[in-house]
Amino acid sequence: MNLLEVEELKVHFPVRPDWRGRPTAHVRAVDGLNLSIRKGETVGLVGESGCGKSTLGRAIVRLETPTQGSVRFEGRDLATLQGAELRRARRRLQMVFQDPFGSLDPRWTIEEIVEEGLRLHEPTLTQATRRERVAALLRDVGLDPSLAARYPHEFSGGQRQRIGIARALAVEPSLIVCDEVVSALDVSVQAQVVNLLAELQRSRGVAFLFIAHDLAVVEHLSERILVMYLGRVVEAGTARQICRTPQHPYTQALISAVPSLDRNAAPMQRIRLQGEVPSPLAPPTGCPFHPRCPMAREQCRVEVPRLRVLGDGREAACHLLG
Amino acid sequence: MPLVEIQNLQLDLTVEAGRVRVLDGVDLSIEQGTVHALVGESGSGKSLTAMSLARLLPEGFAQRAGGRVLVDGRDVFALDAGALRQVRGGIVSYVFQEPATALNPVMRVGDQILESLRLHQPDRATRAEVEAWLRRVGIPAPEVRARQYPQELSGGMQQRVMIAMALAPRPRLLVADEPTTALDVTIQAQILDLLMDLRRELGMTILLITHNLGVVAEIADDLSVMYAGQVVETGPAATVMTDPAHPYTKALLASVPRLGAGNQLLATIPGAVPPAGRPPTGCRFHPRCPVAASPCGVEVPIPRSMGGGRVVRCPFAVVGAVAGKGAA
Repeated sequence: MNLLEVEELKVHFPVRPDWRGRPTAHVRAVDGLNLSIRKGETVGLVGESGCGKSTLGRAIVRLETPTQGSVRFEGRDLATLQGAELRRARRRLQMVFQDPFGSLDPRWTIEEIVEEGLRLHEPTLTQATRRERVAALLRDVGLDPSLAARYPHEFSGGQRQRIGIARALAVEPSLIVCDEVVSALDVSVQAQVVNLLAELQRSRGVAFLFIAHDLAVVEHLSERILVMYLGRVVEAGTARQICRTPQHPYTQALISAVPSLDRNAAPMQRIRLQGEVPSPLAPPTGCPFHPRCPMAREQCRVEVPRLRVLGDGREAACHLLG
Repeated sequence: MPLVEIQNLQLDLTVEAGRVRVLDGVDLSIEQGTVHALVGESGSGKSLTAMSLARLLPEGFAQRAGGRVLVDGRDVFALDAGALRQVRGGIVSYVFQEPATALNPVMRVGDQILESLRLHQPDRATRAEVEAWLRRVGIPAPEVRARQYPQELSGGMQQRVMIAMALAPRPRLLVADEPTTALDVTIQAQILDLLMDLRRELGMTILLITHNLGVVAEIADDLSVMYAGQVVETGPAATVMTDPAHPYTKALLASVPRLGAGNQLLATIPGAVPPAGRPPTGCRFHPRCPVAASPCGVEVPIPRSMGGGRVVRCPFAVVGAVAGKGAA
């Protein structure tokens, strides 16, 4: 059984209310998406701003309510859970956010932030045990436990992200959703946090959904990668398949747009996309990528391509493939 | 003669705790018509260095404590208000990281470009010229876009407007401070292509401030690396990136995740950047340096020329020691 099973998930946001306050349009942030994560697996989710990757992450931990479809976590549909049961499920399902400045309460000490989950989920623990657990967690994420009485503003961006990770780990989750956790960090600090996540993956067997726009970082951490465009998955495969031999025209353009550090490495054919991502308020007919696709033909304008399994096991949603 | 010559610039900022030295002996020379990249992590002083080129430093808060900044032969810190106004926009123009905050939200974008033309090229300050610039930076339907407000445009479009506004007065030097950091990669690629096209067309010099070493590899001719308020290495971008000489440059390059490299561990630099204005004694990088020796904690290294245009602030640096790749 998969740890997480997302089926035909749709998250639509009502917008532009009329005079009665009824929405006249919907932003289709996530528009029919399937995703599964095995125990201990790291899945990467990439795509540009507005493709719906953060909304998907938030819908998985139920910070957003799905419009349609289901999110099954450890065998149970999260939408059907309430009260104590939902709390129990949430303990196993944690999230680390992008902004290390906005996601930690400035009036709480590091110890209070990290132990909050323990207070909620293991109320029988004594204060001494809690203290010990917090100290061990801080050590695990590479922070000095003697700093536990300090406040978030006394820490750098990289250290705050470590605190966010320690907070998520405190309640022993089986899945952590990481939404752009290293995007705001400088490269040398980013490398430290990326390595920390890789180490936690190995030592704790936690599964990760790693959401980011930086393909190189995602490749470093993920076994499988999903590429999203306008609320849908356009290609999914192993990290190697996606990053070295992308098949979907959008993935190819995305990979070729990443500036390469090695000038002499044989550059992949440069694909320059024209225009910008269309509004999710009014997505194009047919394939959502067709207005920018260099290879689009008539069928692409009319018919929505379904995600199909290709010869090498990956999936792609493109009429020209498979 | 280089278009820009910064010599031993020292800059102090007044903060709660008193005066701190944030730039300490910055040397930078930018040749006419080149793309010079300035890289470094947050707080290394790269933006302050760039701002000093047009003396765009907050008066009373930032003081120059020593050194000179020469732009097109003019000593920027010796200019009077009128001459300074000519330098700003006329010789040096800026494009900033967040177009959304750099554009005026209550002014139509066309009027903003027109304003910049009126100041520096009054005889060309016409609607037609504004539309020509919008078209040149790749904005479709310029006559419609010119009448819109910044918030009606996407981030990529806003950045194009910023570029049009900066370039309309035909400056000799464009300072682009993280111009693509807030943008998606496919839009970033479009903007970088645009900058390169315009540079060819207008024969411009560009100072590109970035933390993205991939961007540097793609478009820079020369590269300077800053650490804790000093330039630690400078030279032709291609050779610095394939054969970095300063231990910090080496470590920085090794810590960048590379696409297609699989999922091995990244090289990291132990410790953290020292707080601004409170650098360690001796070499500022020595507490984090893998090759630090006993003199490094005491003696301040002086910039040393290594030939081939390379200047390195480390007494132990060697050029050409590693054939090809640095540590991965």
